[in-house]
Amino acid sequence: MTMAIGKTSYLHDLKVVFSNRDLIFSLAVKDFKVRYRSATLGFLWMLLNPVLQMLVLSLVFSFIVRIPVDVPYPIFLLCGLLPWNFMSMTLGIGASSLVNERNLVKKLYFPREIIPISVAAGHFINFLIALLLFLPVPLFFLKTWSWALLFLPIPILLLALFTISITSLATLSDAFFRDTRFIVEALLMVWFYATPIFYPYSYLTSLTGVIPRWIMPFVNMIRFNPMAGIISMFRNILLKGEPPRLADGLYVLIITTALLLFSFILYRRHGPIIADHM
Amino acid sequence: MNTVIRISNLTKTYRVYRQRRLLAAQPIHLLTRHVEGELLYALQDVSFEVGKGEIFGIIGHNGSGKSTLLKILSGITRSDSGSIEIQGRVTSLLELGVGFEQELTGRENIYLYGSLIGLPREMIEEKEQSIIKFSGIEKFIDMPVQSYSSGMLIRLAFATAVHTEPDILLLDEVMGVGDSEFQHRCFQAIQSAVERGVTVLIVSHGLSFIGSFCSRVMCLHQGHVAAIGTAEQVVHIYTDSISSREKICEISRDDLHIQFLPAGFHIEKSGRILTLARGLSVNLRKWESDFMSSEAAWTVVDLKEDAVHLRLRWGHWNLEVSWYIRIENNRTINWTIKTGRDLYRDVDDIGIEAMVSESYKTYILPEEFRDFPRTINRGFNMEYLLSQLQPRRFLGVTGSTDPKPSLVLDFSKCPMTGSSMVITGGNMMPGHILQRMFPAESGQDTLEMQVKLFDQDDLIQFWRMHQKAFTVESGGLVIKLQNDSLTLDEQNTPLTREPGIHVRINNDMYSFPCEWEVLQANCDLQLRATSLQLPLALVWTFCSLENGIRWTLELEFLERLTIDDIRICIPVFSERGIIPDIGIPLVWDARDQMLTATPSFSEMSDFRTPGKFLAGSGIITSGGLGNE
Repeated sequence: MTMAIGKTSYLHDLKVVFSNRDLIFSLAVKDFKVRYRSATLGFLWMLLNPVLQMLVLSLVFSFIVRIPVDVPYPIFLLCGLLPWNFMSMTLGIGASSLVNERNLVKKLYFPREIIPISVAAGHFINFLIALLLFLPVPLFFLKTWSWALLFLPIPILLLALFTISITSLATLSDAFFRDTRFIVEALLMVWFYATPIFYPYSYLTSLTGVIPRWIMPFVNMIRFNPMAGIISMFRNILLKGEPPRLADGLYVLIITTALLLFSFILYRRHGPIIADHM
Repeated sequence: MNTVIRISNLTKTYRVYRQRRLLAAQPIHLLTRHVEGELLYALQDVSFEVGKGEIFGIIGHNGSGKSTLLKILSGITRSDSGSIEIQGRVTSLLELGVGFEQELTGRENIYLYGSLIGLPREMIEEKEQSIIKFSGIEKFIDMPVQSYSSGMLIRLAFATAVHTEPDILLLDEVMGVGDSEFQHRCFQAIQSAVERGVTVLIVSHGLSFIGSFCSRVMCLHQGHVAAIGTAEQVVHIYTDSISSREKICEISRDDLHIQFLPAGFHIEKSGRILTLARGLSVNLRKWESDFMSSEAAWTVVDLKEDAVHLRLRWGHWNLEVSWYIRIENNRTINWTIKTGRDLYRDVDDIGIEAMVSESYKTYILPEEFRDFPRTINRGFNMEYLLSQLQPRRFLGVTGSTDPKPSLVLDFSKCPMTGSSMVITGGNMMPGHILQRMFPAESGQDTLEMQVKLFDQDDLIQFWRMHQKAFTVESGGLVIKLQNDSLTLDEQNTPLTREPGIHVRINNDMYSFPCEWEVLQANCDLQLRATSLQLPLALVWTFCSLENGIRWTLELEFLERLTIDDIRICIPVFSERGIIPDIGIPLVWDARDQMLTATPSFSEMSDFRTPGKFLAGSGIITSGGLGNE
């Protein structure tokens, strides 16, 4: 192999990332093991957390503030909460991951995007296990067994790719500007409410005329939130037993592809000098 | 020669930012093409070639670009311009233990580390057994790495790295670790790898190691290639370059001559240079990094015939100190370092260092003269003769074979905090180092020192005077202040043990640490100990009488202080059963093995206001001593 500066092709760089899948896996497994090994309840926490979260939110939104949904509220909620938790935890933890792993970055060579990808991979294992355990609930209570289940990999894949793209961008930005992690924290807080997680999308349309007029444009912006599209795909499959809407899928696909390409280009350009900023 | 690495015109710059960068300002900077920060050249126009199977050494001062070069070759960072051609797979070992996860077992870490240096999983599986065998820690391989000693961790890391079968192996200063048996095995592993056609690049400070191990050596100096050649040639050039860099300025008076080089200053007396290498220098320690005066930018602020004011600036860290050096007379040099309090917020320690010629055979401490070991360890490690011990009032060297005057660094006017070190160099640095570290807590913004040059007689007089000044004797009784501890001897037998006679307030051993000052030392001795913790000073007065020594203790409260309990404490050797008579009643404290006396103050509440109070007085007599 002959290496020369700045002469590698896009395809070659993509191959390099792909050839490091063993490393992504090793790092993800390491994160997973380190996270749960020293805790007494071990990886049970992975399930306990969403369950607790679901209980609290269900209590609030089905008894105190009533949000009308046509299925049992906890099931409705969990359907949005699982994908959201995967995305928000990956982004929240991933944003500072390059800086946290600065020892590796300063002393070893590997494509830098591996780090955020491995964080996503670690949480993806979490997400898949939680999803598998939760899956029988709507299928059993709502009797939504149908061929639509075959579409389930699509929103899962889109969610994973969207999460990777946005986390990679945040991580890269954080490597150069440490403020990014705080911006991400703030963003995630707003984003949680701007995503139809604890309310159905239709709830927003019912707000017309109820809330002041000047807020409506902001509410309408939720339409462009890719997480809304992803969660709506999950809900269609799991709660209604219908295939996801094509419009949702296409929109998320376009956004995700654009973000992935953008972050790949940025990493190609700035990745090699990240070590200088650690 | 079959070239596997061809580097031409490599340049790497760093931008150094004084202030925090604002994320919000970046888009504006992009539009206006505004560039923040200062440009720093880490490597400039570096070209060289390495053939297959070579062991290529890289040497240079700190900050000469060695590590940057290895980082670029391993792909960790990118150069600004120039071309790199490398044939084959590169494995770099820039720091042992990086990439190891404390909570995982040794075996899991082999896989993690292996994949970090780019090995496919199948290859690690194949090599697993031989890695474990080489590391020699079979028994512990399934235990978490956090229970390993550092030596074990290093073994495992090195074993994994050499078993990856790279074509090119990059090593940065990693060979000096581990025990000698393992080091030997590492050398063998590298040798046999080279025989298989692996090319090795090594960065090291150990010149003897580089000399005996490398086929060719390159010396970097401030980012440029200073020399490439055989080990012998280049090592020679390197050692020369330390002392022969361009002079900044010089001052002189009579036959005393001081020369300032970018690393420090050198003293020449009657045509003989007493110092070597860096000479007398200052380094600042921040976190784990050293900022040596050799890395600073020097500015001559004011230059006179026999005095100079210099400003040293470590640009990219925004650190600055001022040196004021004046030749007092042809035997005394005043050296004052002003740091400013701001600086002390940024650094942990200030170190004052003198590197002196190898011809000095003896070093001087306030308590004694000691000879440097005759058989100097010729390894590449230096030997610490006195390290991390309590601060000494002065440090010096004497006994030069060719007639050089003795050299003493006098710290009498500096705070008695920090540590002292005496180091004797190995192959890397022939010579000796005297060092005093001042920790940042002392908050001192000025350090006043004197460099004194003595003839043999003057030296003994100076040393005696320092001894005598702190001693009062009568009959066989001697009260002595030595190394900040007040001791009582009779007929050359110490009556008190560490930490000497002291005062405890509110049951804290408050008088340590404190700063001692000799106020008066004619017929009697007056000492003032200012506590570094409480707003309080002790004034001891000792006066030699015919029948003994009169002592007086006064307490000086600088601020309001609440005191519940105050005691004069005399730790003694209980097994000897000798109790000194100090003229006031003493109580035996069995727990701490010492005698205590509670001064008879009129009213406790009096101490709550600032002022000076008599705490007690009495006469120490030898007649009163007895066995009990």
